[in-house]
Amino acid sequence: MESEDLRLVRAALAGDQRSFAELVSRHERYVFAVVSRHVPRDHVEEVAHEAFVHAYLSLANYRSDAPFKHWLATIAVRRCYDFYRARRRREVPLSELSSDGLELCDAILAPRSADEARRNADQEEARQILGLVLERLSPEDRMVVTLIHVDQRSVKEAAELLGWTAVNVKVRAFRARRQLRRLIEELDGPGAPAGTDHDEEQTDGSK
Amino acid sequence: MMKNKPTDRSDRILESLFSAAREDPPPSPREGFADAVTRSIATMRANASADGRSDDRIGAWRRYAFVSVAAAVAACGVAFIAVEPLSPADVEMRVDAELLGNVLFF
Repeated sequence: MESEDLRLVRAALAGDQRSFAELVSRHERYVFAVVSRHVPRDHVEEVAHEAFVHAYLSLANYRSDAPFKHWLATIAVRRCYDFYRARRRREVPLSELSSDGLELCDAILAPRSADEARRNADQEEARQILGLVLERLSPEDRMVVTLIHVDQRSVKEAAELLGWTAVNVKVRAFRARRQLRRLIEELDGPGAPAGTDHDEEQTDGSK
Repeated sequence: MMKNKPTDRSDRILESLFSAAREDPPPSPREGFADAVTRSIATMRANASADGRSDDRIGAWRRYAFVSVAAAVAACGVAFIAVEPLSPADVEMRVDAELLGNVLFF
């Protein structure tokens, strides 16, 4: 499989366009899967397309010691990051949620087990709510959160994909998670218990 | 009984949102996606080579202009020397005169 990729890479570098088309066909599903974790559905094709064009332009830099798929994933993740950097962050008020979205929030926010909440959560609506809260993060924090919590990559893997240090990724992941918790508490309404770290310590009674 | 931390609740919600996003199947590439990518690469390469040709044309004109000017200056120098041959003594005298002029007037 990998040696076939390598053969196609070499042929593409020698100027054979059909070999590159073959590489795209072999990996398009994987790249779509990677990209769709990060960018909205209506932009997945555009970003995946850019990723493949960029891969073609950087093909000479590909080192055969790593699988071609991993190299492609790195390019795809960085194009997703570029997508958010290029796009101005949209501060959408949480009140902009549709009535369906609010109902789903209520369903999720109702006191019950996580499993039950997940069963009840309609995936598309959940995606919308997640998109809405992620929209409030910086492009960097958003990428880290998606890679670690949605894609379930390790800190090391996320750092490699983004080309950052593991410490940077770890710090960003911690801060972004805290910010997301606050946003969820904001959604929960003023009557809900406050979710600051200070309150957490007091309620816990551990201090 | 231990009271739930307030952040436990939001953590649970976040986890359920993350897991819903994980379970969401990725979209499939449309038919002909690979062809569209290779077409745009071909177009990009064609544009790049057209730009390269245009750059080559500009480069050729610049080279031509530079060589023409250099040849004209060289021709003037040769003509001047040929018309008015100077002995080393003349050159020295002329340089001295220029130096004196510079000292007097500046």
